[in-house]
Amino acid sequence: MLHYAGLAVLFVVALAVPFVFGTLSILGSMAVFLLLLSWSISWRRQGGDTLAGVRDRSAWLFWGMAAVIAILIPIIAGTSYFLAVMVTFLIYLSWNVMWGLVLGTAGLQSFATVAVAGISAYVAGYLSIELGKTGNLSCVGGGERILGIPVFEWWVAIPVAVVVGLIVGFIISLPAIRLRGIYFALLTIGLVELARAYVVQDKCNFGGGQGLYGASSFIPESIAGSLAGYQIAYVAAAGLAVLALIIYWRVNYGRLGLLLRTARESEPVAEVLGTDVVRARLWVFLISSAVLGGAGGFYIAYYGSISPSFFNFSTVLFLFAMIMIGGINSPRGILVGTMLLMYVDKRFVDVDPPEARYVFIGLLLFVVTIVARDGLIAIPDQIRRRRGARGTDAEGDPPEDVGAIEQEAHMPPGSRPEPR
Amino acid sequence: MSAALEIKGLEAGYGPLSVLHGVDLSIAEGERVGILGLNGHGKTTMLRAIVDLVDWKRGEILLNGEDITHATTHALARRGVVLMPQGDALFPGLTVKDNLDAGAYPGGSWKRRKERRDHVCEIFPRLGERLGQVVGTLSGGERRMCSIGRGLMCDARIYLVDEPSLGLGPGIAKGICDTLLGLDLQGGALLIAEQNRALIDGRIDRTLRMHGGELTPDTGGDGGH
Amino acid sequence: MTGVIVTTINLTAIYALVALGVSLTWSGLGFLNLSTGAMYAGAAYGAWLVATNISSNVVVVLLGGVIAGAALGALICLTVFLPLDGKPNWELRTLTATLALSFVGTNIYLWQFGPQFKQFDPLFAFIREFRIGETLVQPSKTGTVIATGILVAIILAFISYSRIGLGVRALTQSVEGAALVGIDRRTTAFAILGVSGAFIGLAAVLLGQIYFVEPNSGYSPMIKGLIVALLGGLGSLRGAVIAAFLVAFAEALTLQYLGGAWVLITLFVLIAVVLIIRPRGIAGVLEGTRA
Repeated sequence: MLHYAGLAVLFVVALAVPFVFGTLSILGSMAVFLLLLSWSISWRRQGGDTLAGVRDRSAWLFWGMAAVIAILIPIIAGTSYFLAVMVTFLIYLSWNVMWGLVLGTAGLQSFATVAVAGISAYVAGYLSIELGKTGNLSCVGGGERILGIPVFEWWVAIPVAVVVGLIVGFIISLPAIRLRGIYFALLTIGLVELARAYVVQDKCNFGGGQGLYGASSFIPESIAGSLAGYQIAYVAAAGLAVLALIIYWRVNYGRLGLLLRTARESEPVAEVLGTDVVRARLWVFLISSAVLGGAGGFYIAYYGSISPSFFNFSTVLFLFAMIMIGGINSPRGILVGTMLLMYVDKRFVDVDPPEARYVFIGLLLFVVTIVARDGLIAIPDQIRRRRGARGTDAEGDPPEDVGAIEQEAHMPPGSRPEPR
Repeated sequence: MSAALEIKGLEAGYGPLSVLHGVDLSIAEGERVGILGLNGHGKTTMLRAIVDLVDWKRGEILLNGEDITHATTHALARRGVVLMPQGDALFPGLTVKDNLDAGAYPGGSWKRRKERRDHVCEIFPRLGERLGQVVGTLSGGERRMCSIGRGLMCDARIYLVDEPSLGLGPGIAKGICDTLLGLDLQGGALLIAEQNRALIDGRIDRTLRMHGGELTPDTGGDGGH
Repeated sequence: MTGVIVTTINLTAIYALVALGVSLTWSGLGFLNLSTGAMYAGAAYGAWLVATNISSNVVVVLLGGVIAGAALGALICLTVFLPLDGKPNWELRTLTATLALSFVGTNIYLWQFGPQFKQFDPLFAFIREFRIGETLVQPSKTGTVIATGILVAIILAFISYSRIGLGVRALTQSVEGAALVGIDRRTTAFAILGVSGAFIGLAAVLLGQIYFVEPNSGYSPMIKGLIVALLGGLGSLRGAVIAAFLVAFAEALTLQYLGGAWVLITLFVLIAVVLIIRPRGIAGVLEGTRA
């Protein structure tokens, strides 16, 4: 009971923060609150992995609080500016959750997230501008629109973006079958750069350095830029993020995730299931690509524009920092990391010199990477492991639970995981 | 005078797996000790535990009375604890000459690597003929010679030899064991793990048996197949 | 066509340097140094500082770049390799840590030096330009090839004949074997990252002759260096040199016939095709013929 009382006090403090330090700080205070909440949940659980392993029943508390916060935010901090920040945050969150699925669940070292989302957004934007009502960018017709399909609105563009994401994902996944982790990482980093180089170069179709603008938006023109418009966007973006989270769950705790997890933990299983594992990875990659495509479509349907800077390496790095700081193997970590960095980024946006903000973010990522093996969220597990199964080599990562029962009798003293 | 190598209550293993359950052993200077036992009973783990190539270990290991339990592999090599491991752990892309020279890496030996190399080539003339050849292209027997030769390149105080006959034909295996056991230890000691009793019998000072992770005195029975 | 050849040789030298740096770190220490770009820019700024403050003598400036690169390599060893060596999740964590440092480095340069381009005075002005057929060979290109040749020869000699060099080579072959003969991975890591940094530093000064130096100027060479290293098969030094030639040739051809905007696209297609056919790059081909 004391535990819940403590958490309640923390929550009240976190709620009070924006009234003292401004609306933006609610993002930071809630990130910290959620991090502490997750730590306390993991810490109280007895033994085993809280995050990576089986479905965690105590997670409802965390996600319940996250939902409460999501509802409270427009009430407490409902300015247009802050809602705009929140929409960006939620879009990032949906990308990051899908990225976590690829990096964590599928174990594919892919950096293609931004490429998939961006290409889908570009294609959806292109089609919506070219074929939709506005039609002002036609290459072929010299400024005239070639096919006026008045129905090519955002609600057509988003499904199209899903299909584009799926296709792009499929193409990228082809080399993934053969390439080792790090090779795939570099290939996908290159792909992002390639996408950037291409859209910059193709002035005619994709607007070159300026990018696309004037795509159909789901916010009615009459309320665009007003508070009501941002409120609609907030609800829609929250829906997107929830959808991404649900898909994460279905995949990670479903058949595919189970197969991949088992394969990762046991070498023999992985060998027996060799081709199944490869196929499962590809499925996860395809599913996440489709969602990323949709989220890219959402991006263009919200902003109505996109520029090549979308593909900048710093975008990749920023998103990567979010999930690495939080912890790629857990949606909780991804949520907390995304919130935390979003706050840091917006809070210090006008700091002088502007580079100081990036130096800080870079150092934060560096320190967390060196200290934590699996992001901030998994620190309780990390501490428990260190204390628990260990021989003389404290840094080693002995495969836990492998035949733990029959080996128990032979375990050296002190090497048994200590129940907490 | 303290023993060249002394092991007290050594337990070791990999991850949750415990392989050695309290091994005690003392080897005097100049002594040749053989360990017999079947596969999977801990011979290799014991040798690897001495040079810190296991996940975890507890107990005590003394080298001439000095505690080396927590010393790292490379530091032990520099202090003259030389393991000639199973699988040889050679550098496949380097030449025989470079592989041998690497054995003389520890400070003092480096300057005398040429005379050492000549010495090894006297013992294994086959290596002498192949100094410029890349190790990855050698036959199994030649690789074993190279691995043993590499171990002879520095001033070792303890030679740990892990199944020198493994994977070799009987003729070559015998030749290699003969050479190995005929070496002038120059005050050092030798600990050899082997499955095949016939290869080492009679040319070592004493043998012990490794069974189920414990060392027992050798009862003289059949030590292997 | 002679123009293409001259450009190819020039670019081969530079790409080989960066790729050797990447490849050596990978094979010796098992991680991919994604702060290569920041090391590159850092070494270029180092050389630029030397050139403006100390002396613009060609040897001094080149040494400045090489030493700055080696020092940054040692810094990576100290901050990334040593803390993470032997820790779980090694591959992703080293990748992330070097990426983070690269981000930090780039922004520190931006902070300290501003976004303006810095330019070296021509280092090789003393070399006379000459013609091969129709093509004019600029002094910078001749100088690049000569300087690369000299540094590569020095480092190759160091790696081939010195004790530390043998340690480096042994470590690229077998970690366990190296430990068994007394090679300390952690000490040798400084040598490996130092040599890698020296290669990258020299490449930075040489390319600084052609392009300007700015905080992000390392990014494109890093991407190309990584492409070359991948194409060569990470860890294979011979593969890296051959791949450097291939990539340089592809780039020179693209520059000549399609234009600069297409360079990355051509290279990307090249690498994708090679890797899909030969997942281990050119090294895979080399080993294939040997077996």
